Amino acid sequence: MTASTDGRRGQLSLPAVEALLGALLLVGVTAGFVLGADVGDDPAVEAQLDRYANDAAHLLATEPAASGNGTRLAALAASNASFTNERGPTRRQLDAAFPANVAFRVRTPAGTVGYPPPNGTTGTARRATGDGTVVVEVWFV
Amino acid sequence: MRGDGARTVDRSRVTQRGDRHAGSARRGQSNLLALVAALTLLTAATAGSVVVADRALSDVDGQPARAHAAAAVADRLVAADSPLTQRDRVVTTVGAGNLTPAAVDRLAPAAQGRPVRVRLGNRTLVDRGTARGPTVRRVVRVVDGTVVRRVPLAGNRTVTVGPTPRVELTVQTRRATVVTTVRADGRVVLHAPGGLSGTATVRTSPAAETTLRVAASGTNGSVVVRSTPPVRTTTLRVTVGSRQSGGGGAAVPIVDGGDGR
Repeated sequence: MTASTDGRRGQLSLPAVEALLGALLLVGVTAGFVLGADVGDDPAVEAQLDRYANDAAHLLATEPAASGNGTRLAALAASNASFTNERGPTRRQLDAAFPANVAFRVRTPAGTVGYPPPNGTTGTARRATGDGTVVVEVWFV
Repeated sequence: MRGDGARTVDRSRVTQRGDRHAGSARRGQSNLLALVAALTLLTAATAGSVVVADRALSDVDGQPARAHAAAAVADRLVAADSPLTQRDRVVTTVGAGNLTPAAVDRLAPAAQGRPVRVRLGNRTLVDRGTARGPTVRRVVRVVDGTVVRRVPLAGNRTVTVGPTPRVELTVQTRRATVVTTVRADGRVVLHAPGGLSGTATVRTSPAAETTLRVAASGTNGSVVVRSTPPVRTTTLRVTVGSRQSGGGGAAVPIVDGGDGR
């Protein structure tokens, strides 16, 4: 009786159980390393998008307006009429400036030019003008 | 009787003990196998975990340093006081052509001793080592310097200018020679029967090359053509790699010393 009970208990080997638990623990920790790295927004991507947005704002702020008065950035914000004048050139300028995998939107008090932004990560740059703030948003498509 | 009984008891005891011995031996063997399997499993899992953890840690360690160095190099290359630029984020072709790895190191010490690659559009300005790492991109304007071409009236009197919205012509003639007509791709753009003088601006195609042809009454003198190619926008890409271990300037020989023999 005693012997047969011992035999049955011996079948479920304790080292095997311990090893299994140990391996499970290790796999859990490893999974944390593997999955944890992908969680959250990549700060490098955000920094790059902010850089793009700042460069785009700088381009607009140093480009003469189509009317010849002031900069394109100021003209975009000044009035609906000047915005309408600048909308096409702005779009062409930024389309040419950015690589093909980058899209943009420029919001001004007088109107918005560009593409509808996605829900994901975007980079943003703001420039103050006499007629309000111009916001440049940039994202990877 | 007693003896028989005792023997019987003894035998049964022996048998029992023998059985028990046999059972524990079997159990011991299976325990050994289980232990071997368990240790193998645990070692494999540990090794795999260490490899994954090491890779994750080295990524976390190296990535920000390289990204920071690349951002620093890019920032300083496009700054107004960089040798590459004319103004803030306006790169000159001449400055871009003269960029050297040493100049990059001087501008951004973070790049010292690291592989660096700088590309402007599809032109590589600096390529030191195999730069593997995050790439920082900046949008910059590129201006080419003013191109000055002299057209001697004694020559074939034609010159081809690149795509540019306008060119500036300066007539320099001596004695009786006068320049009467300037044609751009066969179209008359300047004409004075008595002779042109001074400087004039001519509109040309911003999209294609234009051939200018000069008509003059003699061969003494020349026409100077100045053209400024239009500003274009392109991407400056900077990649910085990991600092090579044991690198950094001249190779230092490893000296076998002391107990090494």
